[in-house]
Amino acid sequence: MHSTPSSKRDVVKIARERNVRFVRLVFADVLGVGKNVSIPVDALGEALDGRVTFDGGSIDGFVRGEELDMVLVPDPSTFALYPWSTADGQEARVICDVAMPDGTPFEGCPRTTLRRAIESARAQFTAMQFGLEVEFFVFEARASEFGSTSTTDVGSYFDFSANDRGEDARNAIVAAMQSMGARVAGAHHEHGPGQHEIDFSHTDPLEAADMLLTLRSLAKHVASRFGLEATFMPKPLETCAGSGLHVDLRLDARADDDLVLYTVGGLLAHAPALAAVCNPTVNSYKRLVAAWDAPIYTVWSERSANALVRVPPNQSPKRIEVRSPDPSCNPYLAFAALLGAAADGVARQLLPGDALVGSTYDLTERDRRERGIGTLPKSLRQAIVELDGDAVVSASLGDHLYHAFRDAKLAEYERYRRAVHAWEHRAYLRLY
Amino acid sequence: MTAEELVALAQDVARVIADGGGSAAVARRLAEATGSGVLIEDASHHPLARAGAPDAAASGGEDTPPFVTPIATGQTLLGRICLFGEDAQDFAHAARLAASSLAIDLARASAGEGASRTSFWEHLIAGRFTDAITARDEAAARGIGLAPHYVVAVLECTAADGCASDRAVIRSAIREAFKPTSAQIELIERAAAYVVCIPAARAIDASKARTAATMLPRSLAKRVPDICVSGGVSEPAVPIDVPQALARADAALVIARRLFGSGKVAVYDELGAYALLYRGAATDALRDFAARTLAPLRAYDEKHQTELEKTLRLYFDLGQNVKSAAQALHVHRHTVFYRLRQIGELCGCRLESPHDQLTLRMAVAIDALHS
Repeated sequence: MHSTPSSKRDVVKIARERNVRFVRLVFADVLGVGKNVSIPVDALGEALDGRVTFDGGSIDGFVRGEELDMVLVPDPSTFALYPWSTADGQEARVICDVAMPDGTPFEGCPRTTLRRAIESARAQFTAMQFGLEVEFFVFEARASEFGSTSTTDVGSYFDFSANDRGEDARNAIVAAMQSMGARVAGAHHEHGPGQHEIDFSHTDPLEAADMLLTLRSLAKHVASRFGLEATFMPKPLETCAGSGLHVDLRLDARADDDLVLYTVGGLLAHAPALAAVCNPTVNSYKRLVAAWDAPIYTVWSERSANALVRVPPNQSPKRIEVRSPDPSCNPYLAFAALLGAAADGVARQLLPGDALVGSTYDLTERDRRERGIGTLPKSLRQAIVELDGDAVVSASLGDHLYHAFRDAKLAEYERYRRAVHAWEHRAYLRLY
Repeated sequence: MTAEELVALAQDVARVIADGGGSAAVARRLAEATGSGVLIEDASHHPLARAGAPDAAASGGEDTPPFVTPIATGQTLLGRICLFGEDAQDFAHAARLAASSLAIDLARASAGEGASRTSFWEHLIAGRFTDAITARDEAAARGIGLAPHYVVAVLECTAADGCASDRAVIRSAIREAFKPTSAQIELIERAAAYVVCIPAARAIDASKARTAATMLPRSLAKRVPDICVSGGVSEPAVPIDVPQALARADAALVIARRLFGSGKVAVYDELGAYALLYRGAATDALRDFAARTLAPLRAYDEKHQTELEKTLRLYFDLGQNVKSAAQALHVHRHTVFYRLRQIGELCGCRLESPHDQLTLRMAVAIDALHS
């Protein structure tokens, strides 16, 4: 049974009792990729005192081009044992914030940015919690440069797939996440072959972001033991649903209908700019098309499965489900941006218009104009333009991360733009 | 300020007014001379000009300015000059000087633009314009740009202890409450009530206006403690039909009071059968009501080849017994539950609500009798 350590002393005690040999000090770069520095357990006390440094110049979005030792500041409450042991003994991890050499918080640290966003939104939301529905694919592991998209699984929504190793892998992933302290609400087969979903119970936004960071690395590790590969790429298969990350915002029990409306108003008003952060890859925009219930318009509904924001009726506490993000996002930045947008809606009392009944795909251009409904960006480039024009979302990231993130994404888009894709070969090679 | 500086300011203000600079130029000159934020507003709290320290000057009715001086001729209040900033009180003489000079200008305007604006809206809601072109020409002549549609709200605001609340405070709070609609509202006082005309160029504007109006009992209570707001809201109407919209907003106010007591703002369109029962109706109006109420179900049935309207009729005919309706339709009772939920969603109502049930029952009955 996992118990959350509350102090440095607890962490050292548990590590000693559980015979831990190595501890990974985990942190996230600007893209939300988990990085780590592994230390022998003897150095744990020193690490917990914030005396372990790393070269910040070699990490995306930090201080590239400069040799600068940065400090890892472990969060003792995130200490957890990996549910496996190696030949060298038991391993554990603790998630860290990044600080400057003098101990001041580093403004390029995504985790610190989310902490700041939670504090900033405290005036509007006293105890907002995030629940996550994370979709991902599990494919056969093949020895190839980029991995494979082949699967023997033919299951769809909520199917039992008796002969599918993917289902076994998913169960093992859930068990592993639970052993590391995550509260899993449920898991099931999703629409596409090899596609699965794991739902996490509501918790504070920082812990939710930590959970997603952990899941993405842990799922790959566990799947590999089944001869499979887990991927959180938003749209690996052209003809199947993509993988989304539905973020369920649960408001304080005292929140009234007005607060819900203003929150939805903020989320919709900033949705185009949020896309840059919540759908941060060129592949993300291949998921956001008018099919498989992917959201494409800035509209809310009580029940429509393809609305961008869904507010389930008669819920207490009130819940607001944001359906556009995908699991390739940096969860710290995405959640900070969502909080910023929601808080702005409350501060400026933004109204979202009437809830939509029915499918958003049936909306004509005239309907959308009359109802003031916008569209989500259709490419990463367009999303970055929206981000540039949105002072609230860019301010949620902070100046350093906004520029670091923007530069990294523009470079990514440019590489994609220059690449010649397989589709182009199929379409043009013989034709011209 | 020294006496010489005051004289220089008075001369400057007189000159900018003579040059036709109006309130904006006076506000700028006063802001320059005092270093304060300056807000000049008319007697109805409409901002006329702002200058200097933008945050303070833009706060309008939100914060109480440190110094306010009236702009008046005799007993007639024409407006106010508000100074913002820590030293605002030190420039009282300068503000009074500017106010007395500006009074002449505003007195002229009050016989013209300001009064003419108010009188246009009073004429419009009273139905004194005979046709749309006359109303639009009259508005244009008075420098008023009319929106394609207006949502009309009638609000009655009383203090919890039954005493009348400070009307200036309420006016300011109503304007604040409609800020999220991003619309320049027209606020006309009518005996004990406030009539608010909210421009609604698109469906989204009308939707926001309705939502903001229904939120008023809560949002006003946050700004003016112990206040009780009741009201009615119309559907969007073209300017010439504003009197009819006002009548429907009035009706919604009365119906809401009788059905729900005070402290609620009701939307006329959402009162369904009650609006019909309140005003009475001829056969054509009854048919129209039934057709409008059942239209979403018919459109859905047509498009998806479903039986929602039939399900609703059977459900009512069989005494709201889901099991019997399921047997009659040869479907599982869960299917009936599902369809009832769909019906509620499409018609924008809750079937478990007695009020909404009455509306649907009447629509079905009228349709059976008159179609």
